[in-house]
Amino acid sequence: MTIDDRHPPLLARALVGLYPHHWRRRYGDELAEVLTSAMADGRRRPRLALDSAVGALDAHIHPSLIGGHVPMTDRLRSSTSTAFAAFTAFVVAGGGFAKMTEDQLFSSAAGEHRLIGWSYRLVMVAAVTAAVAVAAGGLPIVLHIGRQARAGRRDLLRLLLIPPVSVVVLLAVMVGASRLAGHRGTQVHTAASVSLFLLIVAVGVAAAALCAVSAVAAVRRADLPAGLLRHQVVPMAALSMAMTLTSVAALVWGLALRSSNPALFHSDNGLVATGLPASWLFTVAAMALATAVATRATVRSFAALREGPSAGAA
Amino acid sequence: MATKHSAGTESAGRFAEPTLLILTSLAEGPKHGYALIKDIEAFASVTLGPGTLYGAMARLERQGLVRPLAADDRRRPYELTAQGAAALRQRLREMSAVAAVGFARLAPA
Repeated sequence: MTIDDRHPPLLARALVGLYPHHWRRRYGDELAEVLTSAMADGRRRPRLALDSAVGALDAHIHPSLIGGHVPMTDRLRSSTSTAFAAFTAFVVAGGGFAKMTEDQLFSSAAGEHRLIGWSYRLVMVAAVTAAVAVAAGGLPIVLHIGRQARAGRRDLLRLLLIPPVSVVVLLAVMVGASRLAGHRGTQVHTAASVSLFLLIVAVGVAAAALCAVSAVAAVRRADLPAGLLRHQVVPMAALSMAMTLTSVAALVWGLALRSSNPALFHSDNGLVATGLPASWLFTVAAMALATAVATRATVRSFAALREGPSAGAA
Repeated sequence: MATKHSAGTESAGRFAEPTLLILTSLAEGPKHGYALIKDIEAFASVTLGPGTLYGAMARLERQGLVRPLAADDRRRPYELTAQGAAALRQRLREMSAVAAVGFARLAPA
């Protein structure tokens, strides 16, 4: 088989697909060709995949790597999908915080200490606001992509089906695990209950990752009008502010708990019966990191709008 | 610790070594992506991954140190520019000077 008659294998095309739109236009064919040659030579695919994924991340972080013009729509498209991926990670971290604080002991502490109660309520309100912002920005995009999928874009149809299927699988696992625990009369914090919880967490994280990847791929592949992308800056700004507020409130909640109820703060009421301080710090750090990524994407969107459609790379 | 390299490689960050290897490989003549990987493996025993290669290549092209030639189907060769050759020469001189000091200090008294 000669190189010329080789079609890039699925893995090579998938890895090239990780790169930004404008980057693929410039280097996509060449990278696919290098990956095809490397795979044909028997080089290790996991290593090729990891190196390409790191390269794609670098290309997303440094959009100005490609000299010349980066279309405004590509920059908005990239920022929008990055903000959504960050929100998905935020939801996973927030789910950990919600799980950690569901015990009655925390409700009592919130009732006894005003700052704990207020900060907890603020976490919930801000998190719901973030979800509403995502829905407000995402729904018009989903409808637009859905119309293209109905018009024959089977690739988009497949991507649109991944999130609902992932959620159904997650719910099925949760219901199944709950019934199994009930059937066996499993006690809290036993090996069996922890195993079931970890199974749900693993499926939940995988479902979130699939949702994020499919949504990002759909946004990048679909033909989205510039007007629709331009309007995303408003929900993205709201999302960034709500995520920031949630993260700060979760931080304040832990600090207030530590000062007003040290015994509860230093208990083993964290995730999977681990120490609460470590669980709290981990979830707050994950939420803050996701918030930073979403905020950076929002700032980039505003910069793209400010520079206008004819601006070159930053 | 921040390092100050010769023109063209000062902002390459973690791509500093790959860019040097690419420039050295292209000093022999134009090569496409996979030929660069194999040549660098041969002379430096370093395997550049495709993502690293094109991350470094994009930086070199943006700095005007390499330029693409006409594509042969999906393979596009690159060649060193005059500015790239000057930057490579300067960087190699700096490395030679450091190497000379290092060897001198390692020499038995």
